[in-house]
Amino acid sequence: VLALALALCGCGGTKKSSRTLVIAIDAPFSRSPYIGQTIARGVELAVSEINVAGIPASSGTYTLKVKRYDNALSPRKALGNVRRAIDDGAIAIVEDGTGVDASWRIARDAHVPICVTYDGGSGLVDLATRPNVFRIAPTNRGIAFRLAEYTIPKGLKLALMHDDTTYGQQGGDALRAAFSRNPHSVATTLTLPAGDTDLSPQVLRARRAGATALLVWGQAATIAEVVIAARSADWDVPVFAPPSAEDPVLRQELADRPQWLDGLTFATGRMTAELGPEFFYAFESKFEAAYGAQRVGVRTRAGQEVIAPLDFAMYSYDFANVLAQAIRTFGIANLPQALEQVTARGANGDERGFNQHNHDGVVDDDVFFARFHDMTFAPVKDDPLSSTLPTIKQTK
Amino acid sequence: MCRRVVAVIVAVALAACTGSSTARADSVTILLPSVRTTLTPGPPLPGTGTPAETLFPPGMTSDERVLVGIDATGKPTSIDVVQRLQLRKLGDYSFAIPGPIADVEAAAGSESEPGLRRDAILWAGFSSGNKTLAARATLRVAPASAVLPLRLTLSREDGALVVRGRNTSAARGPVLVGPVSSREAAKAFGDTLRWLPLRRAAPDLYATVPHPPLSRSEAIAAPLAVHGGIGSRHFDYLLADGRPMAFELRVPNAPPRARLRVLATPVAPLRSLAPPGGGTWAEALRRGRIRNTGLLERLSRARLAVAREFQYQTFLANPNPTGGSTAVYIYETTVKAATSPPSASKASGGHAWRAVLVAALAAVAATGLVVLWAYS
Repeated sequence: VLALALALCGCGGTKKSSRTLVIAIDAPFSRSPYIGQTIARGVELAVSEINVAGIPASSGTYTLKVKRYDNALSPRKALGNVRRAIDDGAIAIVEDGTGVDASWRIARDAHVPICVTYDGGSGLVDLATRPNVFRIAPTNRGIAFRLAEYTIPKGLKLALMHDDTTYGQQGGDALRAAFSRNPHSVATTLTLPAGDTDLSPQVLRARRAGATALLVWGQAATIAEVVIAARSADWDVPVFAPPSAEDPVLRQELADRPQWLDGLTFATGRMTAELGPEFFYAFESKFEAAYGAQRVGVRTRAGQEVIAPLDFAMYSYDFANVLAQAIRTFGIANLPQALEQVTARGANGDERGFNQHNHDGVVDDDVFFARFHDMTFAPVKDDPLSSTLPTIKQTK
Repeated sequence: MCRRVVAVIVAVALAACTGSSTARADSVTILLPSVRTTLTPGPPLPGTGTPAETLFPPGMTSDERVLVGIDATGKPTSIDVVQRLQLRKLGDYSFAIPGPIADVEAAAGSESEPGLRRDAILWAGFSSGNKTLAARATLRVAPASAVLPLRLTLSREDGALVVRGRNTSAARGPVLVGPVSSREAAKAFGDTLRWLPLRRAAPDLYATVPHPPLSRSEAIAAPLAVHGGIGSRHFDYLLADGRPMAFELRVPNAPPRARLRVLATPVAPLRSLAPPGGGTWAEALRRGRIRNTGLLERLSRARLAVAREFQYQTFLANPNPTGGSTAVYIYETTVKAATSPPSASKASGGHAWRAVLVAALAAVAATGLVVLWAYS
């Protein structure tokens, strides 16, 4: 009877089955919840949509599952997380960039791709030495060159300031490279202590060096302190910044004096495609339906609540869709190579993907400039790309 | 009253039917072969990769230099294409250029880096009103050489280097056969010439003929202007467009390592489009110089040859189907021009004997030295 039962069990071998694949999110959920939540929710939203039909495969259907790992902005913790994720069977890792330097080798040996969806540091993605590392986020190189391209023709003398965080130092390197051919546009270069609540001495030094504009590459809190130091000294100097200026922290710290923020210009990845903002709004609606709006925590002068556009959530959402397309087309045997061959429709309507020569999914051209006014920002009109872009609605 | 109205309507309808049937019996309007006809086999090269988004600002143009490395017999050993795409309007671009692409890199003057996927070059970014995208692509030789427009063969005969070239751009196309009036044909010929500068954006042309024509499959080639040089000797040929499809050139006393460089440029079939006796087609018609035999065939052939020329202006595709495209095919010997002539073999044989003699003398000298040492 036992033999018969076993034989009958064996007859079911041809039936197709469903298998669950794990995507690991390694992000600073405890130390920088805005970044961690944004990345994770983007992936989770995409996965919830992909799982409706699953990913068809020859042996059945794949569904995806997301597991979160907190790196607390620590590369050592990130390394441990990646080890655990691989032990947990993760087929891909999405992260902010904290642990890539420490963990890419382990992931490579396990044929697991890592995708960075926040940090634009130039060394993180290297096609030759890190074939399993990808990124969907504006690169520091692209941001810095676009800032140079935008500010130099204005005849400004810039004080290039960066804080001493990894983000700030990498940005400082990118700025040095971007302005290397135009040293006459640079009044001085200064390093700022992150976390310091009074940057008046550094701002004063910039003023005495003859700066007519400040370019601050650092965390949102550092940018806020520079603005406070300059405006408290009645110095109405133009301030330029990288994508970290989008972080709600900047606006929260200047909530008492919103007029000080007016005019601050920052560079970031474009959110809408040439097709128009409808795709992006559709993505925002889905995101808000699932998780609620991303509140900045400030209001406009008219009392409207300000919400943050979901550009960084869009990047992790897009990666999950490109990954699903790679699995659909090539299976899971060699995902780093499969990712180079496919594209997927991005949340903003653009095609998103990588290729054999480039593991960066946001091209340097796609960096635009936005200027703050009344706690929200709008694309500037004196840049060819920015002038074509619509203003994303940021109030409730 | 009502009966009268019905009678009038029936009469009008009958008259209309009669009229139209008479018109149909008298003549029919036909579409002449389009200058956008794509004949197969032929360029642009296809790829096997997954399709990608195609988006670009209007008016994008392409200019290509197809660099064909040939061996001592004229066989292609490498094919590279330097393609320059010029964007002259503001807007996003995102597209793939398919083909048997082995590798790609940015060419001089490019304002962006090309991406590579299996059998595709990728471009994506934003043009702020004027942008050059230039790539140097290395192609897999076997599939790419199959659609080259010119085949060269090199050989040594009686001490002379013999260069033979053949226009290989021909493919079968549908030629219309039937009567057409001189007036209709002259107008179509004239319009074809007039719209040539618009290239693939030229409007389609129609002609009124007495009855629907037949279609006959014929070989249609892109005329090639061939300009070459070997040492100090230079040569020019026009292949096709009423001229021979092949050439043969003997270069006496060409040095064994002489480099051959041949430029083949697809050109419009101006001889086929030219009116009899020169001038314009209107003049030719006025002066009665147009012979009304085989006019529709000639017109179809000429328009298909124009289409074939346009086809060869895009060895790699220009994603903008109506954008201006130009290509030149540059063949160059990579090792040496031809196999060594018999006299050269004799010379090398002489060198061999000399080497043997030197070796034998060295051996004798060495033996002598050993003997001398043994007795010392």
